Amino acid sequence: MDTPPSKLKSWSNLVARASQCQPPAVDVRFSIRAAILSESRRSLPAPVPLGFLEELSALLGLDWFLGTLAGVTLCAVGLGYFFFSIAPVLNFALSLSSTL
Amino acid sequence: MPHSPPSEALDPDLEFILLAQAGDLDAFDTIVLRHQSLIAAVLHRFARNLTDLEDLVQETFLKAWNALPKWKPEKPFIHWLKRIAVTTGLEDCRKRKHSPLNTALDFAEASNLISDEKDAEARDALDEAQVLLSELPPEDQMLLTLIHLNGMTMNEIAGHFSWSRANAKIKAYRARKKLNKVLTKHGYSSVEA
Repeated sequence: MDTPPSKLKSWSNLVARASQCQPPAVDVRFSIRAAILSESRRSLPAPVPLGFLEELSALLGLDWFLGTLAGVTLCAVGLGYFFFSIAPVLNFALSLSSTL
Repeated sequence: MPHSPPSEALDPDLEFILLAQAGDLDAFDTIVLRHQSLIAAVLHRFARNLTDLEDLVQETFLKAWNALPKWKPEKPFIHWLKRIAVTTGLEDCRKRKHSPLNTALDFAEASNLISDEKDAEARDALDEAQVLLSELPPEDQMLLTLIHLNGMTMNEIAGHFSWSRANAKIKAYRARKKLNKVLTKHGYSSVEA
C-alpha cells in the first residue's frame, strides 16, 4: 500500500541535514609513512648472490668482516702447515744438492 | 620534520610535490598535512565509521604517492588529488556492493564519527542518506553522493570525470530515477529527476 503524501518523508530535508555533518579530524601522516616504507621495502631487488667468504660467514653466523678474517686466518694456517710439512723434504733436497 | 612553506612558488604545493617526486618523504608529509582535512571532507560521506574514513584517506594518499611521477604541473594538484579520492570512494562502494549499509551494527559503528551532540542529528541524517544510496549501483551512489551530499555542481562533476556537461546531466538524471524508486520504497517523497 502506498504511503499517503502527507506522511512522506522529505529527501531534500534529509540531504540538507546530512550536509551539516562535519568530517571528523583525521591524521594519517604516520600510517602513510609506515605504509610507504613497508611498500618500498617489499619492492627492494633480490639480494646479490654471496661470495664464498660471505657464504662461509653467513653459515657461521658471522658478519662479513669476521668471515673474511676467519678465511684469511684459515689460509695462513693452511699455508704454514704446507711449508712445515715440506720443510724436511726441502732440507733433504738442500743438503743433497750441497753434498753433490 | 615537515619543511617550511615555499615563498615564491605559484602553486603552493609545487615545491613539495617536486621534492616528493624525487622520493622525499618529509615533503610528502607536508602535502598530507595540508590536504588530509579536505580529502577527509570529500570521503567522509562515503565512510561508515572513523576507521573506514582513515583507511580511505590513507588509500588516497598512497595512490597519490605511487602516481606522483605521472603528475604534471599543468594540472592543479588539489583537483588531481580529489579525483583520486573520488575514485577511491567509488572503489569502496563497489567493494561494499554485497554488504549494503542496512544493519544496526553499521549505525552503531557510525556513531564513532560523532564529534559532539550537535553533530549527532546531522550524522543520523547522513547515515540514513547513506543507507538509501547504498541500494543504488556504485556509480550512481557515488554520483548522487557528490551532487546531493558533497554539493558538487554539474560542471564540477563533468570536469572531475572528464565528461561533457550533457553526459554528466544524463548520468545524474538516470541515477535520480533509480533513487526515486528507492525513496518510494522507503516512504520518501520523490526527488526531481
